[in-house]
Amino acid sequence: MKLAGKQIDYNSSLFKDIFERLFPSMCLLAARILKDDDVAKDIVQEAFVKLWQKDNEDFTDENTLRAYLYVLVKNACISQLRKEKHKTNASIDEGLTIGDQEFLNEILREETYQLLREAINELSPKASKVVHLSLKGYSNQEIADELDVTINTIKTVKKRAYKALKERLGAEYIIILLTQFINFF
Amino acid sequence: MRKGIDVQIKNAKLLAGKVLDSLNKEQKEALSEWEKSAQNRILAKDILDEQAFDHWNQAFDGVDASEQWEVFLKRMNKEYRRGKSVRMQVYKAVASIAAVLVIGIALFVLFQKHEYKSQYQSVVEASIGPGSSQAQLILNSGQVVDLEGLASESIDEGSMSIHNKEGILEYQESDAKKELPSMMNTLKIPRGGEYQLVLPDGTQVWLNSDSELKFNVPFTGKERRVQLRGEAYFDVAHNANKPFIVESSGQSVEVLGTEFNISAYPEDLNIITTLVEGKVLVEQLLDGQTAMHEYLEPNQQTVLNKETKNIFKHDVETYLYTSWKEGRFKFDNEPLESFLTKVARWYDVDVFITDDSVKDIRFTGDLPRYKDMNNILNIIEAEMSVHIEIEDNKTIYVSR
Repeated sequence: MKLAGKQIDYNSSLFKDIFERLFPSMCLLAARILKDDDVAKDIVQEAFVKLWQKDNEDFTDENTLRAYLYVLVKNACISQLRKEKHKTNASIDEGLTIGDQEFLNEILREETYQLLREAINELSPKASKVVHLSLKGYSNQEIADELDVTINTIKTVKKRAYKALKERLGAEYIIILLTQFINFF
Repeated sequence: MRKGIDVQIKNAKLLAGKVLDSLNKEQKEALSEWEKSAQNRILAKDILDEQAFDHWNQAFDGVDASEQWEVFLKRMNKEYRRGKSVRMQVYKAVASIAAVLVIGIALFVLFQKHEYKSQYQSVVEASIGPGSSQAQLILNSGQVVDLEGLASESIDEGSMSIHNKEGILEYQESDAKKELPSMMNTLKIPRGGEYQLVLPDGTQVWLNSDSELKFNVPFTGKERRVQLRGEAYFDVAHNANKPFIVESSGQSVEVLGTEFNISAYPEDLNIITTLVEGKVLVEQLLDGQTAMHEYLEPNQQTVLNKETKNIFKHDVETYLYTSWKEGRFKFDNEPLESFLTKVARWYDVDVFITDDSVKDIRFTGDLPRYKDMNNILNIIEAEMSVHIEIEDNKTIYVSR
């Protein structure tokens, strides 16, 4: 695999970093599609092997790499589903078109949850509470009432969570990491 | 697919930003554009849900990335570094075994929980296809003809020749046999079916699921009389000398030539007659005698309560009552219970509402009739905050 024009070893700390960060998400996604945790793990392992073997694809940022990995996982899931005979309800064509949308929906779920998790992770338990109550559909005022603080506190907490998120994941933070890495050598 | 994924990665930022109240004007516009599609709204609602997020976090914590990294390394070393074995330190091996045990126990617990509920499916897992053109024709002799499996040749019945093609049954009088007596026929539509009928006078009838129409062919005497159980839309051919009469239990509707819909299911409390065009006389029958009557103008409707025997006339938007014939389910402020009763006839499923407080939630919307029921159930679940479980794609349980 190439990152920003440079060949990356599979046993490099950089690849380990990518692997450990992306594996859980990919695994959860595959498990939701396949409804089988163990098969999902195998499939995602396989996808990482393929990812690393890819020589002609030069990943320049985190998002293209993620997107590519999603495609690998999706393809592996589809061939797995084809293997499973009890999926005979739908014709193959039908299964595939449904699969595409289902897949994109699951990607949206995965990406959204990751962002929210990152946002909460960096902050106090209160921030986590705020995000949870927001997901419950509470308005800022209702959250303020629930936690017995002012509405401005809630607004500040949310702002801080978003800022933390932006800093951590931001747009393409891996590329910064990468250029540092490459410059180092 | 790649493009779709890139879009989702961007959309995720909008959804997360929405929760954190941190969207700028441009992002807000992008989000509201995306949320214009009902499907996207449902998806967003499904994703931005506290329980779903909690569940995901638990699952996320359950995946041991560094353990998986070891698996990956081992496998790659085998393939790419033959001979150079990587030795796992003893404590690491012990840790791995412990981890495997923990995961095993966790999976066991999860699996047991899953097993307990496995006879039920969620809306996403279920697959309930729409109804289709199917009907049985009962001839004068009592012979039952299954129209779905019938080759497209015609049937002879008295002076009639009956053609069956693509969900339409059409009667034509053949001049050669005019002297033959009139025959009584019944067209029966099962749950999950619909059929269209063209009577010998040119009147067209669309029959909805779980409905039955009895009629004589040809119409003899001074009137054209048919008997309806269930729901049908009539487009009656004009004939001033021969009124067309639709009888349902306790009601008769007399017309000269017009378009209207009647819903008269035995299990429903009301018989509902909705006039689209022309003029009809709706009569309430008690022991075969006219008790009360109402004239309907276009866009008016009578509701005859079979218990109180009251008949009530009001103005309506007729499309709400005729949309089924155009391939839609359109509802305006419809209680969930009656909404589901109507939809269930078409999808041939049984619906149980296990929580009385849910029955009166109102639904407004315009849904496709020829799509899988999952679409509809998804919308109901999202818009009305109810929980739906499905058993064998056949029985639907709705709860809080």
